[in-house]
Formats: sequence, structure tokens, C-alpha cells
Amino acid sequence: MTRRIASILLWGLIAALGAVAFAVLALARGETVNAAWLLTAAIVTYAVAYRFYSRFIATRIFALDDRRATPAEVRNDGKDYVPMNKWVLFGHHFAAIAGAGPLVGPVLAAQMGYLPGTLWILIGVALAGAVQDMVVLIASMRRDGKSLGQIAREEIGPVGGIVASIGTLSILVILVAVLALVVVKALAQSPWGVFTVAMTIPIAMFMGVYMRFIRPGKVLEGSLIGFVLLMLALYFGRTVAENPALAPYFTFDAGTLAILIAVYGFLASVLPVWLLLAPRDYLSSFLKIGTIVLLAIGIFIVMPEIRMPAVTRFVDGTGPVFSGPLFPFLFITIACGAVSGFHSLVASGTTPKLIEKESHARMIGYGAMLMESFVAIMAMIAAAHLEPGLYFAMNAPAAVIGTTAEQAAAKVSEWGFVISPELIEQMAKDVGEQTILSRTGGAPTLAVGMAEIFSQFMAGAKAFWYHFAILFEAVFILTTVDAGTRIGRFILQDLVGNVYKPFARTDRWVNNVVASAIFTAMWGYFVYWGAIDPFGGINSLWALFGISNQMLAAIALAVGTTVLIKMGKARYAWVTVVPFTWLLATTLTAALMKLFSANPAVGFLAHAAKYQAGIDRGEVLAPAADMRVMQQIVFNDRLDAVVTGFFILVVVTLVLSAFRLWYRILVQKERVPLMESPYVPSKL
Amino acid sequence: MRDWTAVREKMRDLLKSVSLTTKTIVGMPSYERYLEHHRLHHPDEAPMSEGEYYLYALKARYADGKVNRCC
Repeated sequence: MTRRIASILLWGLIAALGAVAFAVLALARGETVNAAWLLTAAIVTYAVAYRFYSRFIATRIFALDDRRATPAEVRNDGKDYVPMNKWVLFGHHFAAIAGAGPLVGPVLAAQMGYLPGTLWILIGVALAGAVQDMVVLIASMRRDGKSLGQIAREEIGPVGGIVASIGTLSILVILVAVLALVVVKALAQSPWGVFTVAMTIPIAMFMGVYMRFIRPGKVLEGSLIGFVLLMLALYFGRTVAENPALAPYFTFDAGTLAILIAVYGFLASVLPVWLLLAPRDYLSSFLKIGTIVLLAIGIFIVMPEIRMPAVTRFVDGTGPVFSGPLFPFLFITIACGAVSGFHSLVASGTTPKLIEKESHARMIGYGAMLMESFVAIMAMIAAAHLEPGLYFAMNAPAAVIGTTAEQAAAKVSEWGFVISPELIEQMAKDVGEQTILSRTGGAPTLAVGMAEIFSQFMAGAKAFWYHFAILFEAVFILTTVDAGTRIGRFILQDLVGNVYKPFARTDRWVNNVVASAIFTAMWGYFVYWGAIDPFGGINSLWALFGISNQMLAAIALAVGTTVLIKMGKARYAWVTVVPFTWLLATTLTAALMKLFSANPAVGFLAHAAKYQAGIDRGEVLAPAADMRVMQQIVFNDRLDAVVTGFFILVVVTLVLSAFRLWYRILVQKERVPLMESPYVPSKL
Repeated sequence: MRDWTAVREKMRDLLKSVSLTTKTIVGMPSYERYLEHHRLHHPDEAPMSEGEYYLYALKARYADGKVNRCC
């Protein structure tokens, strides 16, 4: 009884603290707020959500039962199915789900002020993102670790099968393209960055040879050597950049880098995994965990001031970073960190086969997503810590703010974010870059923010930390590019295999090369165009990525709802139905606006019409340089429109088949069996 | 000097568990565990060498179509 009272008191206190933190954040007007309040609000939200909501899902809905054996125990084969320590699996799952997504989205969303993005990240993760991850993880764990596609096919029906594959393939194209574009934008005109990132290729190959032939299987040794070499490359990158004879070899414009990264992606997907993909994956995992921990420590020690206003006037949709009003576009721009549909593919793949006890699914499913959300909050802090004028100078496209520090400073100051051209130039010099104007894509902004924070609590110049941050983001984006191209290649072979059987054979290298080339060409097209697009590329591509990722989440939550209803827990189905409805509303609104909005800054078709009219009049409209670019703009707008329309079609098809099934069960009282694996008592 | 051997032993154990944890986090299963599993279930066959096991585990981890990385 005393424990109960103590617990009520403790959690009451925690909740009160959170309420104060939210109040400070929401009421701050005209002065800076310390990041401590943001961190408090975040941590309290996570604690309360984890303690109460995830427990409710674990006990009331799924009745997680440690006496029931998990697939890792029943099918233990020492390879795919192995019971794993809860904490180690937590680390493994976190490393698998967290990538560049939670770092980029919040940075872009900061244009509306720190408050809308922060609220969405916190509320979104507690009620949508972490719920999706946990529900899918448990559903898969109780079905021998089946994939989301398989679960959908068995629980909803066969309609989903091919539609789901085609949908996943197109999401992959957009995902790989947008992430590759982030790297391209960060490395353009940056010999230091290009040198360091290029060096990761020979370093990874050396590690690969080391772990295969010199000291077989010694992953930790190989990774340590790789890390030391990487730091040397980072250090000597400056020497290369400052050497007038060497620097030109590593200085590229965005278009050239886009071609290089596509060629790289193709090669990486046909090379054996031990040589490039696996060793870089290790480096990337260690760098990721290490840097995130370092950033957390840095933020806690420095407690940076938040200089961005709580809400800016760009909530009306006229912002330069991405266009479109707060609803629905904020909820599309921040996908990872709040809710990410892609996690449902990871949560229904490797992880459920490694869970030792059913109850662990709560910490691994719900907890790891809270961690990812925290990464997004840190990215928001890093971006909002920057001088707002600097933030907009870095993130607005050249078409809007011009190409010199004077033009940019004048334009940004005009918006009310006063900044001097000297400050912009000084920052470029401090981080060792020729220019920081219009470095869209989020990565450079985050890197400047991280450099500010790191240089305040550790030794080392800003320039070093800036390039460290760029390297860290580039390394794990490239890992996603490799892995994504491989998965895309496989899905493509599988799909074409339905029509032409021999193409599905993945042991034939001709098939692999052809499929890799096709898939690389698909995403390569979007990257190349995004790189030379005078509107900045990220502007249209990130919206497509957000829409597709959130639609996948809606599909996963529809599958989750189906599982809940079939379990006889329809009275608790609101747990998945509420986020499902919200995601469906935001993604469909965003997709329809992207298609049909009459505002050319938002609607693809209106934009195409505007430039088509220019072509018809024989007039070149800025920022296009000539007629050829005009035609390219029109073509790409229409392509983007087709892709958007296709996404709508995929999600509506899947959702309608789920609705039909729910109707049959709930209204027509039909008995539809749940396809869970049988109960086996645990011996562990 | 027995203290020193004890300390060394402890350090070695610590290093081993750190190595095991980091390896599993990046998705590389433990060779020692495999040997144990092998001894228990297939005592009459010769186990793979550490190098062979490394390639075998890589192949399983990066099998075609397996999604183990997100955005």
C-alpha cells in the first residue's frame, strides 16, 4: 500500500514537472528558452508513455506471457532464431531502425518554429510510432517472425500480396533517392567532405579483407582499425582541402556527385557483402551509437539556448524550406522520430526471431522507438540552437535567397530573421567550407548545430566537428543506400519473376547485375534531377518520402487493427485505430494537395501547368536557365504526380480490403480465424 | 602474484563480454556460442572454423530481401 502511494506521488511529480516544461515551451515569446525545458518535456513524456501506455498494451491487449515460448526458443537454430539478451537485442534493434531520417526531418520542420515539430515528435511517438513498432513486433513474434507482407496476406487476404510488393519497391526508390540526395547536397563543393567520405570505401574494403583473411571473424578488431583510419582520413581531409593541387580532384558539383553516388550504389550492390557492405555496416553502427551518445552528453552539459522562435510565420505554408501549411505537411516532413512505417519491415523481420521472452517485446518495440524519438528531439535542439537567420540562409534554395552572402542576408532579414552577411561568411570559414548558403537537405544544418555544441564542451575546432558530423551522417546514409539497393533489387527480381520465372533466380549474377542496374537507374534518376533542380530537389522529394513512409505506417496499423479485432480485443482497437485514422487523414490530404493544389508551390500539376504555359509562350521562367530545363521541370512534376497518385492507389486498395474484413467480423459476426502460431510452454 | 592472474582473468572476461555485446549489436552472432550449440546438437560432425562461420553468418544476415536497415 505504501509502495502504491509512493508510486502515485512519484508519477504525479513527474507529470507535474512535464506540465511545467510544456508550459515554459509553449508560453515562451520573444526570448530564448533553454534546451533543458525541451529535454525535460521529452523525457517526462517518454517515461509516462512507457510506464503506463506500453504496459497497458503489453498486459491488457496482448497479455504478454513469459510462460509462452518465443520463436527464438521453439525454433532455435543457432542462426536466424536465437534467444538474445534483452539489452543487447534492444541495441541491435535500435541500430537497425535509427538512421538519417530522424536527423533530417526535424531540421526541415524547424522552419515552422521548434514547438509544432516538438509536439508532433512527442505525441506522435507515444500514440503512433512506438505503438506501431510494438504491435507489429508482437504480431510477428507470435507468428514465427513472419514479415509484414506475409502477415497481411494471411490475416487480411491475398489482394495485398503484389500491391504490397510494388508499394514497398516504390517507397524504396524514393527513400534511397532522398537520402542519397541529402549526402549529395552536403558534399557539393566540399573537398574535405568528399575526401573523407570517399576514403570510407577503401577503409571498409580493407576492414573486409582483414576480417575475412587476416583475422577471420574478428569484427571488433577490424572495426577499431577502421575507426582509427576514418579519424585519420577526417584529419587529413583538411590538408587535402587546403592543398591547391589536390583540392580540385575532390571538388564536385551536385550533378556530378549524384552520378558518382549512383555508380557507387550499383557497384556496392553487386560486390560481395563481406567486402564493402558488412564492414561499413559495422562502422556505421558503432559511429551511430557513439555519436548519438556523445550528442546527448553534449546537450546535457552545454544546455544550449533555443534561438528559433516557438512558432514562426511559416506555419501558413509560405516557408522556403518546404512548402505547404502546418496541416498536413508538418506531419509528413517529420516521419522518422514520430512514426515511421519502414520500422514495420524491420520489426517483422530479424528482431522477432531473437526475442527471448514475450515480455521483452515491450522494451524492444516501444522502448527503442522512444530512443529514436529522442534522437529526433536532439536534432531539433541542434537546429533550433542556430541563429534563425543562419538556419534560413542554409536551408532556403538559391532560387529564393540568391547566391551571395549579401543577397541571402538581405532576403532572410527581410523575413524578420536578422542576420549580417559577415556572420554567414564567418560561419562558412569556421566550419571549413567555401559556402554554407542553400545547403538544403538538413545534414549540413545539423552538422553546424552539432559543431556548435561539441566545440563548447570538447576540444577541437568547429571545422573538425562539422566534418565529423557530415561524415557520420554520410556513412550511415551510404549504408542505407547499399542495403536499400540490395533489397530493391531482390523485390524487383521477385516481381518480374512472376511473369518471367528465370529472372527470380538470385544465384545468377547476370540477373543480379541487370536488376541492380534497373533499380539504381530508378533512384539515380530522382537523385540526379534533385541535385540539379533549381528548386533544391529536397523540396519535392522529401514530401514524397514522408507521404510514402507514413502511408506504410497506416498500412502496418491497419494490419495491427485486424490482428486486434481477430483476437477478440475490438474494444481496445482504438489503440491502433486512432493513429491509423490520423495517418490516413494526413497522408491522403498531403497527397491530394501535392496532386491538385492550385498553388504551384504545393501542387505538382499546378507547377507543371505554370511552366508548360511558359513553354507555350516561349518564355523562360526563373529559376530555370533555358527551355531544356523548363521541359525537364514539367516532366518531373508530372512524374512526381504519377508517383503520388500511385501511392494513393496502393494505400486505398489495402485499406479497403481491411475495412471489408472488419465489417465481416464486427457487423456480420463472421468467424475468421487468427493465424497465430500454437501455444508452446516455455522451458527457459 | 596470484592477484595479478586473477585481475588478468577478470579483464579478459570483461573484454570478452564487451566484444560479444558489440558483435551482437552489429548483428554478428558469437562463434563460441555456435561451438557450444554444435557440440550439443551435432557432436559427430566437425564444426566450421571461425572464418567459415563468419562468412556463413554474413550470408544469413544479408540474405536476399532481408530488411535490416531503416531510414
